[in-house]
Amino acid sequence: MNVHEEIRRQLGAYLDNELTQGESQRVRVHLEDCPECRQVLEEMREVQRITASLKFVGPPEEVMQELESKLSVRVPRRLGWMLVIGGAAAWLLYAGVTALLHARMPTWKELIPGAVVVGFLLLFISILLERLAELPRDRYRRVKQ
Amino acid sequence: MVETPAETAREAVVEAEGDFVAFFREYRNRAFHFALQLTGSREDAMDLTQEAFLRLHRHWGRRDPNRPPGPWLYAILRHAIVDWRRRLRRDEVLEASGEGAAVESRPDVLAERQERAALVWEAIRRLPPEQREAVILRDWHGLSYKEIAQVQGVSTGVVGSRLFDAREKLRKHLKGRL
Repeated sequence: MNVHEEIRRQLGAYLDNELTQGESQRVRVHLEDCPECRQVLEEMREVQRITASLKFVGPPEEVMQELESKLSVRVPRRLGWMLVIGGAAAWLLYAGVTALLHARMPTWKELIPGAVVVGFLLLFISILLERLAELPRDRYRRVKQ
Repeated sequence: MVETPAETAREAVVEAEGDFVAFFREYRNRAFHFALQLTGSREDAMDLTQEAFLRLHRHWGRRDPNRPPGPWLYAILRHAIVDWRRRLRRDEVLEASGEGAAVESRPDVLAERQERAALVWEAIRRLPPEQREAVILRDWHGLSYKEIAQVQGVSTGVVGSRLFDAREKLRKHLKGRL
């Protein structure tokens, strides 16, 4: 590839400010002596200018509002799960310590919150299993930030 | 007052979720327009935007706070659009017909019908999908080569080549018509 061809391939990146300082300088020097490349650059710039100014129809506002509501409703969900897991762990610890220290089973008053905790735990496990089953099909989890 | 670990964790969650809603408000139109530009359908673009935000929300907890989440959203949305294309089995139809992307994107997505704008958009629509994405992400959404590389899952060198090829096609197609 000769210098002219090499520089021509860099004109887009030059236009986008994606070249190093040295590369940009090399392109500038070439442009001074090459009317063909100047013409190509000018045409690219014009197409880019029109592309950037294209105006597209907007999103349906009512559907966007619905989506925002849906996402806002999901906001406390993660916090809810944290409290459920934290509460369940604390109760299980309490029940275990009570049974060990006093060598007795918890009283019925202690068992009521325990039932609630176990109920939440079962729900949590069922959702967890569902998510795990979905995991191999979820291609989006591999999309890196 | 000393915060307990639970309070600290709760505040982190609230902050992250608050960030997500703020992020949604900032990026909702950009995401919609990216989907619209690649599908040509307002309804499909809205469905894909919704799908992308819901998926992003699911993985929001593992984001790197030191990196902007914008390209991540574009990458997820792009995956959804690729799946959408596959579902419609349009790739095979397009390849067989040799019409590039012309079938996929209708011209009525433009809000203003100006002749020069319509000519350029028509030329962009005819580019192969990867080149069209690169041009749109660079020239309309303003992403850097590095960010486009992240969205398309390729190196910055490949992005440069795609943009070069795309611009050569656009330039030649539009020569003397603008």
